[in-house]
Amino acid sequence: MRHCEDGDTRLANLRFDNSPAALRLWNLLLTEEDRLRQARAEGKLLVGVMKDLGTAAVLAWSLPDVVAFYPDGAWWTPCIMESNQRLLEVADSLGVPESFCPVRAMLGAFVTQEHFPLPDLLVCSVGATCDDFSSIAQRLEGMGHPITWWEMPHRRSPDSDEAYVTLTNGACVPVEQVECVETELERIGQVMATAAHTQLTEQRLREGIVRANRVRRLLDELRQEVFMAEPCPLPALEMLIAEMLSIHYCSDFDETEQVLQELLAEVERRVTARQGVLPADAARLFWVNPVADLRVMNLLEDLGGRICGTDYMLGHALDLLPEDEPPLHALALAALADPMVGSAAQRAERICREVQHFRAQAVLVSRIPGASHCATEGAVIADVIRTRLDLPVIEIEVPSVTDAMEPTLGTRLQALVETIKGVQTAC
Amino acid sequence: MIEVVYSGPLVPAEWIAAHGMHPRCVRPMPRSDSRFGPQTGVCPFARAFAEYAAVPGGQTSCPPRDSLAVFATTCDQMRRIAEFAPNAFVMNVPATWQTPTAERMYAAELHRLSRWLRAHGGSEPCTAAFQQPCGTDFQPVSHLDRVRLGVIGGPIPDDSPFTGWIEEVGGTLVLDGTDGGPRTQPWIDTSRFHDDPIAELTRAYLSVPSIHHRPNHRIFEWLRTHASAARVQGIILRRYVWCDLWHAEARRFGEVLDVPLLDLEVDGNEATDPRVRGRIASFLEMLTPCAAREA
Repeated sequence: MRHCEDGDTRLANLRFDNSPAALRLWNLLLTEEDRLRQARAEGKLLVGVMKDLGTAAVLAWSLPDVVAFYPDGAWWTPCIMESNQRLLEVADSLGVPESFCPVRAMLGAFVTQEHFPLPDLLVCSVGATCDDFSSIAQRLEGMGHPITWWEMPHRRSPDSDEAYVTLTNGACVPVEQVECVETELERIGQVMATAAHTQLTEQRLREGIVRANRVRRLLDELRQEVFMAEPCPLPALEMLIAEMLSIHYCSDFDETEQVLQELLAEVERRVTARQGVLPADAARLFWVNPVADLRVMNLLEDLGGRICGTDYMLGHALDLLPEDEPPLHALALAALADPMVGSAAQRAERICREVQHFRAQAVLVSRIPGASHCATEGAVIADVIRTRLDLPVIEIEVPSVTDAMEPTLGTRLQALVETIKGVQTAC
Repeated sequence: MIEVVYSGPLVPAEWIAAHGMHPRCVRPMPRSDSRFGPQTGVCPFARAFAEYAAVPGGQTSCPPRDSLAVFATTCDQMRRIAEFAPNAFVMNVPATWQTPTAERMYAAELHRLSRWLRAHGGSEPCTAAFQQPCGTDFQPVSHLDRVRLGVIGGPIPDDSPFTGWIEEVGGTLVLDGTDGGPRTQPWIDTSRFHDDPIAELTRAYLSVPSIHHRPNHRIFEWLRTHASAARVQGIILRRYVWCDLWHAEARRFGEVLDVPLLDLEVDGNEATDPRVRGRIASFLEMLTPCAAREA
């Protein structure tokens, strides 16, 4: 209620899981800005890590008195605050209109400074990244916010005579690409350490990786339990938020660990009691890409579907980091495993494996309005899924606030659910 | 001689030529009726080039041809549409340019391109025939009674009526800052190229001010300097729909330049859409009284 009164008015339109664990999850998410201000007041270094979703944050969190967060997360502010804060209008006024991804709200957040405190340091991955984010980040720099850019090469398969390594997602890449990313991570790590007046030692990095893996293991267990159980023990909305914790722990690592442990305990209790939040015959969907409007997670379940498998563009933040490799090398292996860094076909291969593992009955690709990767990836992913698995695939576009188009979205989701259930009945 | 087509300005034509192949920069005209690849959200120029590279006839309206294609990762649109041309070479061009990593990465890609060219019929690289071109293809013609315009933005298609329209409505193009124009033609030291082509090409191409570079301040510096030298009275930012890299900077270009800027978005209908020509004409009408006063 207090978050609603503070301006997060979308919360009144969302349906939440009715458990103390879920309540603690939402409180963690919605109090992040307060924690960042507290960290600033305590003299900690605030590092805004941008775009790479999960690797640079591990570097930063390995340093004492450093708090890392993703300003990219501002893309949900127009949804949660139902555009009350006019962040998108601010972006419009800067010449970054709705043909760009909703992450343009980040520009608005930097201008108004009414959300997160301005970071002391900004680092941003660039290269094999979407154009809209790269452009928006460049506009930030043009507005007087210095950025330390680091190169993320387009992931490619090794030539037949090239030395290669295996990434955390199982893909193989040439050694030279891993060496490139490793060098870049070392460089930005040194920039962070210098700004924090400390040293980024190998020991600290190893400890940071071990800590990160604790969160990743919890998430993996949670995903396995939730996506495999019948009936569904935890709604898609809470699962989406939980997965997002993997990228920077919502600026509170210890609380993230506690929240995930409680969620997992609640899920295990429900699974044992065969207690579900959705009907047992809910259509099983694999969902690709995060939604700009969280309400859509509820909508799918209202219409008889459930999410059992996800690719929210952060699969590399869910995979365990190798603890038996030199730490920077381990982080480079993870960074290059980013599904957005390679081809859509490679991304689709992983989706196929997970669809089969989680026994999904269809795949839904959620387009992010204006995102450059969404122009072509849906077609490639759909083609691979249909060819390899002979499953239905649909693409929908989800803007930041879907109220006006909910009937249209609902019709499409309902059609997909009915198609799945029709196949179920026939079988 | 085997032809290698490319469109990206940071693809080293000199290196392709050094392998005994014929590099050809292709800027096909986007077509709104193209059914190649996905339709929504795709840059029309990226689609046009990918169709040219992937379809045996180039674009379906062209005669059949047999050539190789090189894509550059200088934008996400090109990086991703390259998946629809599976036999093409995708050159990993770094977005950063100030670090040893960027240099190593570009150099490594030159080595990899060399291996690919040789695997597809090219010879061992030979730099003996290289000569730095004396000038560029763009030759501004100065008409005292016309409004002096500059153009920046994405590549102008080979068959585009764009520059002709500028002349028709009373302007004269005195500065070409588009991708593929003089801004993106590197100066290569001939003797250094002969001694160490990889190092010299890396130096030369990373020195090109590109909109995709991070940071990208050099392109603003280039534009300020050259617009002033050419006494430009107005600038047209000609950008493709869905091209975020140029679109995001439109406001900033307007802020840093001392002359009016026309932000012109074009799609696959450029050749037939009267609105594009109309907007250019309106822009010139606005500039003409200023130009007359200056004269």
